[in-house]
Amino acid sequence: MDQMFAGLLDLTSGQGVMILIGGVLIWLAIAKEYEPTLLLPIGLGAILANIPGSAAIGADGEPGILTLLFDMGIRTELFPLMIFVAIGAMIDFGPLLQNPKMLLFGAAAQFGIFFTLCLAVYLGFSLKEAASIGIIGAADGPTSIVVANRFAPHLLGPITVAAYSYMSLVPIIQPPVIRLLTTAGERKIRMDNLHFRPVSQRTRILFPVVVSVVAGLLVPSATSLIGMLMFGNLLRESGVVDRLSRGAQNELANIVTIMLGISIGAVMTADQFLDTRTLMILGMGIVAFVFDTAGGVVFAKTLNLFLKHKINPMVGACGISAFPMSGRVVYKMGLEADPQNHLLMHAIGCNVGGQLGSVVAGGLILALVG
Amino acid sequence: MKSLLLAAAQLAADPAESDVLAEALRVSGIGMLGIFVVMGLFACMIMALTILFPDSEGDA
Repeated sequence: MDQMFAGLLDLTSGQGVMILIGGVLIWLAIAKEYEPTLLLPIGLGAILANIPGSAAIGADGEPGILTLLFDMGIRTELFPLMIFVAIGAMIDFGPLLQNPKMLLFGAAAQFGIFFTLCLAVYLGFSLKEAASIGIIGAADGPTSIVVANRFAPHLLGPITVAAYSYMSLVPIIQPPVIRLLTTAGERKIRMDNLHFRPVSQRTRILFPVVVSVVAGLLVPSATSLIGMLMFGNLLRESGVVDRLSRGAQNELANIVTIMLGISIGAVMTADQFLDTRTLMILGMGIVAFVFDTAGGVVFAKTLNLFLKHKINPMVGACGISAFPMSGRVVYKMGLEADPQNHLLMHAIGCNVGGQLGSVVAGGLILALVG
Repeated sequence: MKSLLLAAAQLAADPAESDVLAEALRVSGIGMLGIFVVMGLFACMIMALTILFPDSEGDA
């Protein structure tokens, strides 16, 4: 009888709180649809990991299912890299290839990463922990997982939760920052003068190959991140392996997402998660997103000082990697400012550039801090 | 403002901590510059590809 209630009797207040947090994540996923594909499995994983003596974590020295998945897929970085294959297969780099200048916004909007890195060091985190916290600003879950796993595995739980939660909150975080930094007149700037050049199939096929080689030579630490992203894109653009491309976009993405999400829950144990540092990380995650947005907008405004055909500074905010939320947010804001101003192609091109920018930022951080 | 100045003074008084902050600033500076260099290179590369392989009928 005692054994039957052992779990209940051994439940600590911290574990109770974590079970509640897991419940909140599930509620956010279902009721608010905040990144449900990840927050839902993370939420249940957190609940399973905090049940006293949970067989999901392991008992009698034998690892449980969550520990096994974590060791197999997160510690080895296999799951996030497989997610990159899926993302690469889903992304159409066409709008970026038609207007490659947008890549520069994908660089400028990584500013939040480095600002937050310095802030975290200032607040007492070690450089490696700070780099892992800063990378939340990559607005790119798999990159955050890879960097945090390498530099601060003990902070993986809060960093992953922050990265995925704030990505889904982009429509709430970005608009006030953009409004604060732009005038009504700037938000009405049309970009009809910018020409979208047609892109050949050869260019589309060569792009992932050349990017893999160039990025690999310049930032070898980013080879696996960019290589997997570009591999997925090559499957898509080659036109000869449609079955594999569809498999990467659907089956691979779905299966790995399930395993990734639930195994992240394994590190959300009360002793690791319930800490003032977790609250600080969640706070700094927002700072990273805010300064990413500001970096992109301010860079666009600076470029406008020299350009004949002005850029709508709101487009700069799409340089963060949260795809396609950020592009949609700016498109809608453009229509609010001027119902005839269609910024979608520019915004999406910039947003796709942000995808590359975040991966390059992750690789550079791995190289500079590692 | 006072607390900020106090924190800055404390930081200056603690060489180990200011070393870490200096390292963080160095990483951030090089990181930001590095991203612009790599992304700029990607942009040039795309432009070169579009010039070398222009869109032609039946190819797009």
